[in-house]
Amino acid sequence: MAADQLISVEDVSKKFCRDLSTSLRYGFFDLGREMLGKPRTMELRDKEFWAVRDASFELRRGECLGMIGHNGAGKTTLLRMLNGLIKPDRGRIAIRGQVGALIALGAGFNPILTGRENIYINAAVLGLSRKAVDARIEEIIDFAGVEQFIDMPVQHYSSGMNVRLGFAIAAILIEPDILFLDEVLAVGDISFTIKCLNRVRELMRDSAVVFVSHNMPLISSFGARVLVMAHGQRLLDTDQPGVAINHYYGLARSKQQVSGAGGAEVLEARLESDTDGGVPVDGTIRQGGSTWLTARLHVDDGVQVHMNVFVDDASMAQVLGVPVREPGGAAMTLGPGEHLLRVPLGVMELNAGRYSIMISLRDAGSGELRCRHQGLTPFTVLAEQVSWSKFVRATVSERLPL
Amino acid sequence: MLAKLNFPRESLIVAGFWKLLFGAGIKLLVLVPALLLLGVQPDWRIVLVPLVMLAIVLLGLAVGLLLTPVGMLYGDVARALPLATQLLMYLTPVVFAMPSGGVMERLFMLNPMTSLVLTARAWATGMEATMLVPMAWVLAVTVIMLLLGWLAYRITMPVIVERMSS
Repeated sequence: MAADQLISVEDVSKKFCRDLSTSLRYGFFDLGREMLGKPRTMELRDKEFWAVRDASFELRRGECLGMIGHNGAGKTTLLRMLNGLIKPDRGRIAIRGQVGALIALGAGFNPILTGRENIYINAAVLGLSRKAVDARIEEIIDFAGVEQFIDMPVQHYSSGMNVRLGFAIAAILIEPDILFLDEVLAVGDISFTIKCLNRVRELMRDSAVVFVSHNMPLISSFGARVLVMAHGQRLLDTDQPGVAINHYYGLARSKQQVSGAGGAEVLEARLESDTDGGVPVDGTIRQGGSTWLTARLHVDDGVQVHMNVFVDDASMAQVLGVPVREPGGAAMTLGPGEHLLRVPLGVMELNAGRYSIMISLRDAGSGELRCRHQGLTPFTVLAEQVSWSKFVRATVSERLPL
Repeated sequence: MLAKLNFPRESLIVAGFWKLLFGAGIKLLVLVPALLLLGVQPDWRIVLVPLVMLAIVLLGLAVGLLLTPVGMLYGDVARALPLATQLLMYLTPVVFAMPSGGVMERLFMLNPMTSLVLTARAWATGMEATMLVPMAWVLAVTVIMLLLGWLAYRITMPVIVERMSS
């Protein structure tokens, strides 16, 4: 292992059992094998499955690896193996340096003891002496923001306060070479989250970080490298977070969803683009091309609606809103009957990735939602490069005289 | 906590050990005045009693450590243990005196606790201890079992943790 290489994972696999009593029986056999120093059974036994399969990566000081994947993809299991809690069934993990983990914050708290007492206990679990804590206790309390409640038993803390204290203890006291984070940055309110992020960034500077999160903006801002996992296996290992996130989103099949009070509906929707010779290419649009949405709608008798078109990203968040107007600027009113509309969506400046269209039809009078059709015509924006941003607009800069 | 945090697993044993010593210490504080009150005349050897008690604790710890991996895996085993130890207590000359002759005496003699308990009692009451040799053997085996148990505990912990809920 090179000198600055802190983590090395080689073809690591881990299997779990689906059935409780079988699992315990296997556990009993494994105990015996372990005590006799025999290697673990390599093959899957009855009712077992691979929770992690052939995972490999290396990480150096200052590097950061983000892991994304669906629930049960094996991210946490991999992290637990790295943390030394469980052993891999196959493969090898080599760790060099002090390991710090921000996982299960506040797990060691004793509910009847006060926050202050629990700081000492938790620090002891982390391997720190009373003296080491004395020097930094004010800092911890301050970071957690629980000054008024520090001498109250933690069983009366709110869950947010609990996690904040847990995070503060670990984050202030540890100065690890290797840092593991498992979905812990999503705790607390926004101001605390920002505090956490700043602290983690500080810790990151001289450590190797592995973190698991479902928060994609966080992944792209932190993760220099991203590992996409599915069903225990590595799908992708890339140093372009954008590519990884799109890949991950691509795994989720988007479904059409219709809601609203009724009285109007979207019958058909399709996209066309002026790229690739003006031919409507199904499913893909080149970044920078002009795009139109053709929609066929039906409005019931006695109903009048206004139309809004949205472009949703893969997480179904709206990234672009297109209110449909009359030439004068007033909202276009659609009366009873069928309508065929061609709505210009403008130049496709969206970052490469998967998107879909949402059409919402609101009552022209009451504003009541008549129909909202989500997940229409899923499409992919193609680009040479995936950006970290939501929009990409390449420009030519003017040179000003100095 | 075991499934989530990585900390020296031995700390749990040490914590249990101190808890036991604390409890035993309080009992000793009651025992000494009680002995005097009952008119027993202990001699200097009473100071050895805590040492024998320590040996008893260590023997228990050694057996416990060896059973821990299975006990942690199977909750049933962990639950059955206190019951089993209660039964075993009747094979120790605590409540009933040591039977002389018969199957029971042989069973009593097989119990490693017998020599420890009898020696502690003899030294506490100023009588002559008769089972020092068996006790020495028991102590030697205890030390070996402790080391083995500790090793087993260390080695098997990851196996147990992976079968526990996280």
